[in-house]
Amino acid sequence: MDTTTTAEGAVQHLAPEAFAERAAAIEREVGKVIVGQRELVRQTLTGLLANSHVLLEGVPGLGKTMLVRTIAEVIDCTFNRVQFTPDLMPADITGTNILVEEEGRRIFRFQPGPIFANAVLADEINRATPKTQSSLLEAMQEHQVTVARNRYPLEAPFFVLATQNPLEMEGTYPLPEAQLDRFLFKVMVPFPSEEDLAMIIERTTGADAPTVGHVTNAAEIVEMQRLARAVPIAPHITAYAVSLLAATHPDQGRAPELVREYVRYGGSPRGAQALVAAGKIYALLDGRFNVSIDDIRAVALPALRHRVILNFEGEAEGITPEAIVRSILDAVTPPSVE
Amino acid sequence: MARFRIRAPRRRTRPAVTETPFVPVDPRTALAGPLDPDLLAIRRLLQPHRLRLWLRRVVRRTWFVLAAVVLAELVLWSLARVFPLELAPTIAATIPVLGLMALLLLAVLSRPTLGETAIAVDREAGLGDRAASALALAVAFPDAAGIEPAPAGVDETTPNASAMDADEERRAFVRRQRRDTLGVLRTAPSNLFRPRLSRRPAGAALVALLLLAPVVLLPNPQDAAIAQAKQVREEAKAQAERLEKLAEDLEKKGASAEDPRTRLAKELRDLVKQLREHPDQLQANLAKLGSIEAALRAQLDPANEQRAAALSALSRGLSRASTGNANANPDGDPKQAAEDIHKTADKVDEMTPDEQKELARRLTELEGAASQAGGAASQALRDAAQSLAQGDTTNAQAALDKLADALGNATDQIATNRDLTSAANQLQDAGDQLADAGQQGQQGQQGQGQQGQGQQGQGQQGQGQQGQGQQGQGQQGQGQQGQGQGQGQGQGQGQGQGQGQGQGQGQGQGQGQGQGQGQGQGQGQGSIGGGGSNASYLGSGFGGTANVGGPVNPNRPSELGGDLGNIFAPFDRLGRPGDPSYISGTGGDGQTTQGNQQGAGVDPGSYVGYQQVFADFYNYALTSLDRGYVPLSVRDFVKDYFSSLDPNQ
Repeated sequence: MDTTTTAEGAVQHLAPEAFAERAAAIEREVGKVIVGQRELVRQTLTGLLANSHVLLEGVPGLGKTMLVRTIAEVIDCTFNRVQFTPDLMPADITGTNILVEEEGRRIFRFQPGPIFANAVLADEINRATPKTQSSLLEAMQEHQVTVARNRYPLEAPFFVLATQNPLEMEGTYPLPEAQLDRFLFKVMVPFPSEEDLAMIIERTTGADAPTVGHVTNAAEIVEMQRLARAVPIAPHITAYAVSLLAATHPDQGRAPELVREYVRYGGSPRGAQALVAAGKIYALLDGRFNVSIDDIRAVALPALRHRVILNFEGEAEGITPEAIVRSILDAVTPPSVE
Repeated sequence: MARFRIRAPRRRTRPAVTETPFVPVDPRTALAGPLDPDLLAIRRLLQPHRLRLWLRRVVRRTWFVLAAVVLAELVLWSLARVFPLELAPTIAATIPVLGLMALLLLAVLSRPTLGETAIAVDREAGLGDRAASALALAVAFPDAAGIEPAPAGVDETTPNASAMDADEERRAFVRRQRRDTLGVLRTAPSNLFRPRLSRRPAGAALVALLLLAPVVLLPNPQDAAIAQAKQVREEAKAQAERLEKLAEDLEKKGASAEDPRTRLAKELRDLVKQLREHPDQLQANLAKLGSIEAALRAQLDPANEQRAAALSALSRGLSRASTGNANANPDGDPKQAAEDIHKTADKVDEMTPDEQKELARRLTELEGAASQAGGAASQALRDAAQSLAQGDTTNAQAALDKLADALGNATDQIATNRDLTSAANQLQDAGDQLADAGQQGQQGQQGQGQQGQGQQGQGQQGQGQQGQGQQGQGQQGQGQQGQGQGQGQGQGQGQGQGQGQGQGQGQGQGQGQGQGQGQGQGQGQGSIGGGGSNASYLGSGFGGTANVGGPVNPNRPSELGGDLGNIFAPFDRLGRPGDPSYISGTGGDGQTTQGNQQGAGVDPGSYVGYQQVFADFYNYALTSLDRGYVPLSVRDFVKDYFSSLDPNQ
């Protein structure tokens, strides 16, 4: 046994070697339902293990909702789905005080909203008004909800997975930068390959629907989150992550030409935090006890693409944030001593 | 309304320069105390890789240095073909040496540190930054770098042990990472960091080498210019030595600071200084030398030799008049004459009136020569003769003494003039040689690649009085192209060297052997050199392939007919060696004739009649007499000489 369980059933410590095994088990179990999309699954799982949140962007029907539901099932956590619409109100998410009769008296009692779950799917988050979108801010950052001056903590692990549809932009409200910054990753959900598509058709049109079991539980996920944060990182790796983030700012000396021309604002310090936190998880998933440059580079695209804000020229010329981040990766090369 | 503008596609620029990476520090140098055995083992395993990485760096820098050296050589030799770079060979030899020194320096500076080696090993072997992280984490967390025995009953490397706080867990992570690194390093390939061919510098070196070969091997047109400059410098230094000796001689002879020889010596020293400091400034040196010579010649007395001859005749006459000996003072020595006059002055009181009158008469006969010798002498002679004729012995004695002093002064003036004349001639020689040094270089430059053909010049008779330079006779080449140009130089024995066009300078002390040897260089195009002094006919060539006839009058011995056996004058009739006998050479009669010839060459023969020979020599003698000062006695002698040879008489 590489875990220690208390009498109450809470896992106290997890061996680093067990981290990769647990994660691999989760990925395998999720793979029973989600065909292909290994990178998507890994990045989503990374967001969960980093105790952060992930924004998925993809056309409808690619299994975004299925992915979150499956992960919640595999890790044996509670799951809620919120379909964001323009008329959705903040109280519809966070919950509200309702008037109840109790012992002959009428009192207000807090009725938790769908945010009170371990895994929350904010489906088509960009269809809600900014007011409603911002209701997620406190929950995502501080893992608590404040209603009527009362704070209600959210149960760990708390994982928000938001989706947005890049096609139907009519009547949508782009997420504010402050909220975008709170997502560890912005993951683009790719269209599956023909082989994967055939497999999806086969699985979803048959008589037996694929089912998944519990591989782990919420307590072990929390322990995995804690273990990931304990991974030491060498100063030169941290320096490289900082260099990448600094290069997203057009006024920085190391910024490449594309950034200087088409970027209005670069990433916040949360970007560097995301790089390091995700890098640690990638290192553990790879069976290492140190973060490497390659880990940082591997997570740079999903961690930085939503933190780079293009200027008007960039928007007009169709420059994508992905192109910006790739140019940064080309410019800020790994340390070479030859 | 928003305005949109269409912009041209932007060029993707190269990535921004990455700053020097953060290189982990060697824990051994950063930390004190004993290190974790795993850390020491990592350091040991990195050492062989460190050496191989160093070798790769040295090889890489060698390629760069090689390319730089070859490119530098290419630039140097390319410039040397455009500009006359005299130091090009030296610089070319220095460049590889500098390159080698730079390589050694780079090799020393490129020795990798342990941290650099760790980063390189991680990249080369794909270790996921394990090695570099192990070193960096050891320094970042010193509490996990030393030997720290695990507490009893607790396995430190197992983080799931109970009661493990955050620091303990971090230390455990660091040690676990170190152990992981050690295991991976042991399985890393040992042949990392093989030296690579650096394509860019190697390609640049190869291309530069291919370009360098023809640049170096083909003849360099600047070589002639360099040779000329060198020759000019050497000649300038040689002339500086020569002029310095001349200046020393003049200083010794100069009686005072006001003596023109002393002033000239000062100017010569300035010239010597300029020649030594700026030997390559041919034009400036020639200009200064020419200005000194011109100023010197302006103050020369053209009638100095005439005055000298008159003084000599006057001295001879005065000695004979004063001593009564018809053979006294045959050399016309003024000192001897002054001494004789002083003696006569002392005896004037003892002379009878008839003897005094006889002396006055003899002195009066010498007034013509005295007037040519100088005004003071003439006046003193006239006063002495008048006093003697009137019987005034006192004034006669004073006048005779004054005459003796005047003879001495005139002698000094003549000597000074002769010294200045000699100096002027030497200055002219120096200028000519300097100019020749510059011109020879140019000729060499022009004549490069041409082929000359030596031909036999034409000997000629020496000339008794003055050597005469003359031209060799260039003859037609064997159909080769070229232009001849040169100088003839004849010495008394009639040796001439001629090249083509024949501008000659002669200087000689002829003995009249009349035996000539010539060397000619004729080049192509049928150019014909100027005729020598006895060349009466210049063959005209026909046919580019024709063989050239022999030289006109080749090596003709100086035999004359029986009735003209005395045509050559002995050397001692010409005066003393050292007398001015330099006559500048003049251009030959023949000029370059160019033409296309066909057919066989014709040698029309070389018969020259005595009448024509006599006329040529006689005219030349008259011309020579007119050019420079020749004493009247010598003029008459020459005229008498030719009169005796005149076939018409």
